[in-house]
Amino acid sequence: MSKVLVAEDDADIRLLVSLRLQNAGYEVVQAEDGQQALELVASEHPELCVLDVSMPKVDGFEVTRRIRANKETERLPVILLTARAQTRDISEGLAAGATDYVPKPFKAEDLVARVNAEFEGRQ
Amino acid sequence: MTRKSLSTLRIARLMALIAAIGLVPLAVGIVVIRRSSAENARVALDQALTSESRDRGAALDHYFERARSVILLTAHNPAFAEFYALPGAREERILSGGPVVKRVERALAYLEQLYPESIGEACFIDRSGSENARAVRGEPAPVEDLANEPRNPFFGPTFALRPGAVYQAKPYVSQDTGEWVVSNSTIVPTADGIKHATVHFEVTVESFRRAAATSRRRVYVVDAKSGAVVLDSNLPQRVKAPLGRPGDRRFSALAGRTGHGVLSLDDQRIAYRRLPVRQGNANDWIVVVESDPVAATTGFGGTPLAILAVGLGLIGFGVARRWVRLSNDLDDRATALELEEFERLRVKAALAELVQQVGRAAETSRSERQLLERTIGYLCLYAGWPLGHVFLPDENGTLVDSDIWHVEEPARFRHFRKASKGLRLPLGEGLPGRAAKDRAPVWVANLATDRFFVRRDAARQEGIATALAIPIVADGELVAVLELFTTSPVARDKALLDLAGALALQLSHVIERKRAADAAHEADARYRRLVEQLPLALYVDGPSADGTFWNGTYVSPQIEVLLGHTSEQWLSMPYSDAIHPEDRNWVIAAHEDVYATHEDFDHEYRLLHRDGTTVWVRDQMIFVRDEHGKPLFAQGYLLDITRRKEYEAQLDELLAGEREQNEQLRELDRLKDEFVALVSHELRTPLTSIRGYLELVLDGAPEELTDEQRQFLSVVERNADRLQRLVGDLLFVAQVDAGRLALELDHLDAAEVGAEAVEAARPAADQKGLELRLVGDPQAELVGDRARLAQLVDNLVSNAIKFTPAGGHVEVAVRNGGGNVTIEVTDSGMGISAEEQQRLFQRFYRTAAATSQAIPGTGLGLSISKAIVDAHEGTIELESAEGHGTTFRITIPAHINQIAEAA
Repeated sequence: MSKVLVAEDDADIRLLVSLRLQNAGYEVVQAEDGQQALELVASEHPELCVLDVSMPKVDGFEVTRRIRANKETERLPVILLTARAQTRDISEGLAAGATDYVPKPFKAEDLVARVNAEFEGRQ
Repeated sequence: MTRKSLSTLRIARLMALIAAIGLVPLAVGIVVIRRSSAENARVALDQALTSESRDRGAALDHYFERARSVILLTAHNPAFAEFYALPGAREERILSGGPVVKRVERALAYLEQLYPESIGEACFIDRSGSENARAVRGEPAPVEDLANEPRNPFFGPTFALRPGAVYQAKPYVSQDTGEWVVSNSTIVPTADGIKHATVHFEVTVESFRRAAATSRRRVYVVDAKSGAVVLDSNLPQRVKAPLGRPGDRRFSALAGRTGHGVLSLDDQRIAYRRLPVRQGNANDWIVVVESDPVAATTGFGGTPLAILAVGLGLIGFGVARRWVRLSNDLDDRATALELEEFERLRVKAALAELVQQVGRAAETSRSERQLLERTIGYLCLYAGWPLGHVFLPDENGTLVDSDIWHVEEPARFRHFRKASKGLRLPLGEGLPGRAAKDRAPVWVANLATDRFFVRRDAARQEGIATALAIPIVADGELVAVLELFTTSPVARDKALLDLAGALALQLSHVIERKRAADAAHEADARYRRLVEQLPLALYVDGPSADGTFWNGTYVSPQIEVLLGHTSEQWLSMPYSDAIHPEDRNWVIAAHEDVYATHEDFDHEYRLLHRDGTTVWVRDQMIFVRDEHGKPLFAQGYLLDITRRKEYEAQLDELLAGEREQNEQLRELDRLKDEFVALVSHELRTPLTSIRGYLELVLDGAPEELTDEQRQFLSVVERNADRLQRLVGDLLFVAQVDAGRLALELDHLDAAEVGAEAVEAARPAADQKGLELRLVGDPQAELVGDRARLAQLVDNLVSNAIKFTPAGGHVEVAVRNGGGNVTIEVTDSGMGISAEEQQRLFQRFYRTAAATSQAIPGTGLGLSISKAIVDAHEGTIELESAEGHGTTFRITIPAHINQIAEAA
């Protein structure tokens, strides 16, 4: 069972995404902010990260950059959840090293499909 | 003219000749004719010229008129030069050619021929004062140098020919009287430096003494101061006063007066004429008794010629009438030709003098009327005609009596003057009318026979016989008609007519000049008025020794309106005092700058009004330079700009207010943007949760929910979707408003976009029972934002489905052509009224039908659609018929080449 990290400061959304991913058969590790996300990446070794862009302490872009900056995690897939479906945010996210992005508001099944596609592509 | 005065004419002729000799260039001729009659005549003339009358011309005229004897004098006067140069062919021959001395000899020979009994002596004196020619006829006179004789007040340094000096000829004894005679020349400088001589002949008092002794009671010499009769053989008997003692008080009274009048002497009334006599005692007067009934019968039988001549020269026409009878023998030698010639010369001389007089009158006359008044007077005096009158034209050219008259004797011609009063003569009528029409002098020799002379009866009554009318034309316009009348019938006199013509010409020149000068003056006055009316204070500042121009010399009266100071006050106060204290330093510095550079000055600053208020002025000043560029003075103006400054201040205030308002508006705008962004973000998050959990429930096992629960939850889901769309639309609108609608341009196929939109909408159409179809070109490439265009077409298609009732159809047509891509969405719906079409693209506008039929929508769809079209530089239009359907047509430039090149 593949392990996915979900980092989202909004608890409702975090739970929703987590439930969806669990229903789809993933093991989910949850983080409430960017700082915790980085700690869990280091301790839990998830195979994929779903990161909200706007989070307290360390935002999604920064978390992505640090993941990429670390030799051990530089190839870890990162999907960003962005509220502002704007070119500038998307390009910043991609520049930071995100693998994919899902603009908010999103349908949970779309997110699950992206995550599936990520794992399928690797296989 | 009759033979009466021929003798005097001869004298005149002689004098003309004398003067002619004097005309020889670079030489002064003095010819002394030892003929006491001539000399005495000359004395009278001289006295006339030195008389107290200020108008020398009038005195001359007086002399001409009465004595009929003589002429002359300033040789280089061009007018007189003409006179002298043309005395006749014979004289010309005599006086021209050869050495000076030969000419003098010829002149003397001619004189002798004319006057065989005379003894002539002539000499020329050149500019150096030396005598270079002398010719003497007859016995040389015994000469005694009287140069140092104090008796003669006119004695100057002998033979010194210099300006102002008197040259005295050597005295001689008159053959006729045996007395000493002295002739003088006065050297008169002229403006051009040419010296010329005025010839004086002077008779010693002795001749009077002699004359008095033999003339019974004709001539008295009276001491002007005491009234003592110095000389008169008969007087003692008459006035019972001894000779040489203080005499009759009536003579004393005479001494204070001038001219002539009537004096009662015992039981007789005698006319007298008072003449100053030049001799040792300058206070002596000669009193000439002009009427004496006793003398008329007994007096002149054996009187020597000299005394007759004295009588002629001094007394004038009163005595001359008697004297003439006795002198007829002298006249016999004169010819008619000489008479004529003399008259002609006289007229020429008169003309010359007259022209000068008119010129002088023009300078001193205050008006044209006064000028005409003087001119008619001069003209009458010169012509010797006793009556003159002026007609003036009115605006229609009708000649109207001006009431300008010259009457020799005030009492005369009353009747005729009355007949002329208020007379109006149309052009061509009457004497002045004819002259005006012909524009030439008209001479009527005999008025009694002239049928056209309107005032004929009055003229006959007054004995007026001859008339002359002279039109005066200036600048091609008739100015006046002068008319002259005389009582004796005079034949048409060419000389007088010429004189009149020349006078008319001179007068017209004078009037033209005067009018031009008046016009110039008037123009100047107008200009000045204009300048002083200007709503600005003009000024002129003169230079000072230190190179500054603080020295105000002129300021127009407008300064008082501007600053409350009169021009005089302004010019006398220091300028710096008038400058507002806050501006004083820099304004003075700015002035000093231009005083150094001489550049133009143009500044706005504040001055202080006399009442202490502030006046804003614009001060513009330039320097006026001489031909070398050196500034002569500064001139400029002060313009009151106080009100403009007030307006400017108000405007500044308004602008500041507006700026502030704009600032506030911008702040509000920013807050709105922020708000919208916040709202969209903050709404999305909960929406995501709501929808996510709904899906979670609905996607769960079917048995977990009852049908009713499932139905309720789908209502929640539908509304959540709607809310989500609304948030999306709001966010879009906010982006458009903020100018942040950025397009992601790419090559795309609009046909494909259309097809996708149709496919996406098909479930909704099917559900509603509508026919939905796609038509048009299979491919329609353009450069645009795919997502936005898809949104646009989705919008239009979903609208069409919403507003089309079941059974209708919706058609999407994508076409390619003319460099554009056209997308049409046509429905068979309810249509939109023309009124609503106008407002359709307004934000949040919803049609009445949409509201009444509760068709869902935010009212933002079409405004978003329009924003997308605008961003693509396209157009959106619609055709609609209520009850039949609507077509939205979008035309977007393909820009294929553009992007291809860019790529």
